[in-house]
Amino acid sequence: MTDTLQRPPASPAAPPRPRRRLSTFTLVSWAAAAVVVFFVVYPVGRAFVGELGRELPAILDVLAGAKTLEVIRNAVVAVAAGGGLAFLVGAVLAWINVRTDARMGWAAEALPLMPLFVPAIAGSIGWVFLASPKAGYLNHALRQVLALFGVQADSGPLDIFTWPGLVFVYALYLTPYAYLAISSGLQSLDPALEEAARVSGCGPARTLFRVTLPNLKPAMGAAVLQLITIGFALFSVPVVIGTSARIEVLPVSIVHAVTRQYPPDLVTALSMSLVLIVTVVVAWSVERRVMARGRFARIGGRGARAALVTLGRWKLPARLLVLGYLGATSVLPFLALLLVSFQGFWTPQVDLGALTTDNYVDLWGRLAVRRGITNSLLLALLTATITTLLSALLAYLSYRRRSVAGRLVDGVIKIPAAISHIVVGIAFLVAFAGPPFGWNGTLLLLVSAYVVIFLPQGSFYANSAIQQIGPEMREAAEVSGARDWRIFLRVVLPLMAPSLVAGWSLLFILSAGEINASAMLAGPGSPVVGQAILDLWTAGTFPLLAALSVVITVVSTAVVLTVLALGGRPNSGGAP
Amino acid sequence: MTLTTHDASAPAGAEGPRTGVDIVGLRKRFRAPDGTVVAAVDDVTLHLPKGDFCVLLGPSGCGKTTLLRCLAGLEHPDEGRITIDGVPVFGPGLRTVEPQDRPVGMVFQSYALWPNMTVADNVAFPLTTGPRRERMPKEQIRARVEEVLKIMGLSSHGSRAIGQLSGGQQQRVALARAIVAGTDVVLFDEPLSNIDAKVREILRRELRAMQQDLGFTAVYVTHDQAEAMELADQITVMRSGRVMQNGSARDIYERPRNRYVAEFIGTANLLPVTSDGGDARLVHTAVGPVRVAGPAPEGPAGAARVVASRAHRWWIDTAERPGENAWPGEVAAAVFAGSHTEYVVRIGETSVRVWAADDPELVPGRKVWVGVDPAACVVVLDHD
Repeated sequence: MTDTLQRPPASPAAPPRPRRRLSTFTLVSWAAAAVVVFFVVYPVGRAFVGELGRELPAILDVLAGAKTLEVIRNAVVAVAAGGGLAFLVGAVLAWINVRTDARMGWAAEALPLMPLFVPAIAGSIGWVFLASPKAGYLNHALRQVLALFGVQADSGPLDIFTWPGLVFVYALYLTPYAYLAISSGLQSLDPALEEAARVSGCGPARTLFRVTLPNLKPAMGAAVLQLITIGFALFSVPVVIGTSARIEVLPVSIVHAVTRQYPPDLVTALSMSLVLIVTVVVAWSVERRVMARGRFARIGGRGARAALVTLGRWKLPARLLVLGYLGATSVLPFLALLLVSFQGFWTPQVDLGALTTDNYVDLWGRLAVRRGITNSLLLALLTATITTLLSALLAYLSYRRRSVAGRLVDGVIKIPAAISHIVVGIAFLVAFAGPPFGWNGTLLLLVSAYVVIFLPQGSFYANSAIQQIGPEMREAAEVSGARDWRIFLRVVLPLMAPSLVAGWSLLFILSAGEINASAMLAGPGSPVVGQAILDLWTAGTFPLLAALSVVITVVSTAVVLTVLALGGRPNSGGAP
Repeated sequence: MTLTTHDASAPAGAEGPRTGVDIVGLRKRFRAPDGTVVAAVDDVTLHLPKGDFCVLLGPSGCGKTTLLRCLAGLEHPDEGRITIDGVPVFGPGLRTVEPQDRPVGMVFQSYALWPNMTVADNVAFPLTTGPRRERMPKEQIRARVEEVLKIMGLSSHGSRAIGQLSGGQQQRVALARAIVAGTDVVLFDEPLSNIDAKVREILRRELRAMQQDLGFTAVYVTHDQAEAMELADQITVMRSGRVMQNGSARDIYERPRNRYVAEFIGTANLLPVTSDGGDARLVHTAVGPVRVAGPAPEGPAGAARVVASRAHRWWIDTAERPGENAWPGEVAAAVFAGSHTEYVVRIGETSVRVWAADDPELVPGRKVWVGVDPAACVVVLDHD
């Protein structure tokens, strides 16, 4: 016998202590689940059953109206064309970044996030600054080039205020959703499937069409679903570009029914929202049918990287496509906003001597705008933090106990993903703005709506984080004698942290520039940046709105990059 | 070495406090996705004596891991009773003791070391889980962790991150974490299955030495019979949720109870018994009468039986060697395996496998004589 191990004086694993049936952890997490279920189910139920249920004949009047049919038709065209383009571009970009030697590591990471740094409402206005027929910077530059060839014109050649212009900007802002779904599908597809096809005598093209694409059907289905859900509810792009182009699209009509009339025309808004809900439900059930029919490779072997496809002389064009997309979604619109923000008024004749910082001074002088900025940053901070913690807790809860209740909570969290932001906004307006709650014009109304809106995204990050951890990590803590809070705080949460930090950053940017729900919920008592930009746009105060867009973009980008740099590091265990 | 299946069937606690682990009539059913109910653990009664190295052995899906997780409290059985070191943790009319409160440690298949903590933090964790006022003082925890790490030969590794350790070191950290709280029962869920064969042998020896030094009761799940033979004081062979046989490695190897155990462990020749011979030590088979070491284990009357014998206890000869337990045959195949060569020999319609020294004369088609020592022939039940 060498070293003999002596029993520690106080053995923590002594005879079992009596234990209360309900620990505080269970109580807290079920209370959190109950609150979430309330905030999802109650507003939607009150709006569509309570409010709209009493007005059945009116619904038909609204839905059968010529104007409603027109805005629905416009929405279908915009989503079909813009979404179709986004699907193609997203798929090609995903393939380039995941499976070819043209991949650029940082671009693959940045691509889905880049368009979000500039809020969509600001980005759409940026494209107006670039490509409006007379004063657009791009048009001005193109005309100067054309003049060298003797072609004179005082407007064009590009015109953003047209159907192609609208579809183009739709596609720009929908592409990340297609990209995310398809690239994650490609990443989890076992490379061995493709290698087996190659060894069986298939060329690269045949492999792509006979093995890769058929097995990507679930990812592509998810992409289409996302495009439809997000696309039909997209408000920022059509309100800026569609309105000027005299193309009214469904979400804009819904918001205007609430905000441009007094008293708000809730019946019209809710009836039109029904169209959004039905569209998404139909798309979901079609997707489920299609997916249930086939057998697809689901999760692949990790670690082994597929041999990258060598593009040869196509490598440079592929890279230019990636960079071109990043330029078109963020760099160019941001530069346009930056330029206008230093001009006295928006003009393509840039006089470097006349550039001024007056707009920023003016911005600071406006109390409502200043409050909008602080409100938006505060809202972003609260929303991102609450949503992240809530989804981490709920993910742990439903993962730890595979119970009916757990699945129910899981399902309820996903409801907001199916009903779009616009619908959540209007449901919150109906349910909480008036009595008995009377939250109209408060940040509470906005923060609760934001949390509900972004819960599906938060849950996505939390669930993927907890699935990576694996059950043994938790079981080891249980066998070591740890109880709920300790397991959650010492083991599960730290292991989820890197993923949660990434999710927090995404939620922060999204909330800072939120406009879909804010357009209806943000009143004079609770101004937010998105609403302020829209107001300045409607009033035609371009330099000021440009300055505001630049400020919110710079501030939220700085916050997110700092957080990612500090918290996104892989765990090293603290020492040595 | 104790063979204790019989006395474990007596109700636990009836003969005063027992030590080790007692399992009585344990059942655990799962509902498969297609709706069928599978009994993962089916009426298991078992005593795992204190201080012994007990191995649960069986193919994947035999219920050994479910049984282990029932002991840890990670699965809740449907019925039965579990007593660990005299403390009932599961039973009828008893509030099930949660894993946190059971006097066990566990080493997981993946080790499940928490990458967000250092080696020392991982090992200290079980000492810091109780209510604050019941915990030992910080200084004492540190001393205890150092002591355990020293025993494991990891003294200088306390501040390392988990990712910086080799597979063997990770196993030792996992073991340190399992024993640090002074628990007497440590559960192992196939901890060596992800490791290279060579390293595995070393770790196995290390683990056995550690268990004997520290004197804890080990319950070890594996599907590897060589691992079981080397480690175990007591082997429990399982199949479809039921215990097939429980005993020492020698018992299991030399006196298997039934055909399943004989085939699962080692390479056995099985000759179905057609009728009894004149006395208890002679039976008739397809190849003729076979003299055996002893009578068949008890079973239902008229139960089918087979004669089991190990391939390495057979001899093969080119010369004619008639006699008891010897038959003429023909080599059907020869497979060189390094330490021996496996000859498949046909005796009439029956094939036997013989492990012998390599002989270039023994090519397929060659007429030979084969035979087996009667002491190496045991009669076992054909079915469980």
